[in-house]
Amino acid sequence: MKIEGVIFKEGEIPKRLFKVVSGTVRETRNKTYHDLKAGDYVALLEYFTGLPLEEDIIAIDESEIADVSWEEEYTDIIKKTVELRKIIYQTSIDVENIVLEDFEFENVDLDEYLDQVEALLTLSAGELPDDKNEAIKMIQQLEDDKLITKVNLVRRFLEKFPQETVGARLLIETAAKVYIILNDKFLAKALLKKVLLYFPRELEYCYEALKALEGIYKDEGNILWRRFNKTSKVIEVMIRGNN
Amino acid sequence: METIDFSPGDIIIKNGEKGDYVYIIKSGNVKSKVGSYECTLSEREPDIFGLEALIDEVYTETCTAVNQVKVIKCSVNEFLEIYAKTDLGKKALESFIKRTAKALGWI
Repeated sequence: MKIEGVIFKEGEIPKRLFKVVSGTVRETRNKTYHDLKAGDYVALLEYFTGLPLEEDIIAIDESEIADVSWEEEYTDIIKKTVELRKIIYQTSIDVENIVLEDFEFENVDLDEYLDQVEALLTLSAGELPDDKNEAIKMIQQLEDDKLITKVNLVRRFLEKFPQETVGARLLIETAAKVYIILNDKFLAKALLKKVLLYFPRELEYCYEALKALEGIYKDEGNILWRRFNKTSKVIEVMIRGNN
Repeated sequence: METIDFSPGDIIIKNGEKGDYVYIIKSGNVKSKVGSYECTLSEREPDIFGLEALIDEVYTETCTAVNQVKVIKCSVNEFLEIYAKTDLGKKALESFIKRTAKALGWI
């Protein structure tokens, strides 16, 4: 059946099991989104446990869902649950046994992306002054309607002054504007991940970037927010230790 | 299918290890650990663990005997043919999903 909008209402205990055929269905539990795609089951937890739904479950774009029986779907339900469990392990960090992998994030191909954007828009960010303070001034004076140019200048600033920690501040501030004004999650995430890659010893900035990443991933219903949440907690402990 | 005994502290299944059996608790208590979430499974429900074997996946939790434990050890075919589509099979799914939701912090 094709549907857009509410599938199950808050407080309802689902009596039917639906499987997503196409589109996106959003579940919210504990104030966190979880977006379901083709092959996922709607309200699986509440259907089996009889717990009432915390919030409405909605198809956020035109979706198709199919009424299925748990008996027929037995092993597929286990597969989907095991996928969720794997996410638990991928996004968990054992604070007492941190390994380098815990700090590895998705690859950042920001430079390639910006090259493409520049080529498309034939943007020219111009040359940055050799004087650091002049360069910062130039970046900060750019209006919000030239955000992509600003992003390019921040990128050039990092290339030109890699040791300057003000670069981390510029990345975080620019990421926030990109997210709020352009609503470009990909670019905002890439800028924030650059903070972690370029300034791993600047714990306060890393913490700020991780919290912002957590928020963006939560907003898009991506369960990887857990990873950034856990890592930020580790960094918070390290910052407290340093103080 | 056979009934086997475990002593306190014995690890019955281990997260990350491949196994070919599903276990139904007949008596005693078993501690289950999924991620950082821990709970106790018992014969009261009755509780079942090791469902990952049904899809040829590694186990995703570690289950340890808390006291003297008796379990029914079922092969994949035995469980699918005898239990999967019964109330017991449904209970197994319910418990498996609930432990997952708890570990995810959903409930």
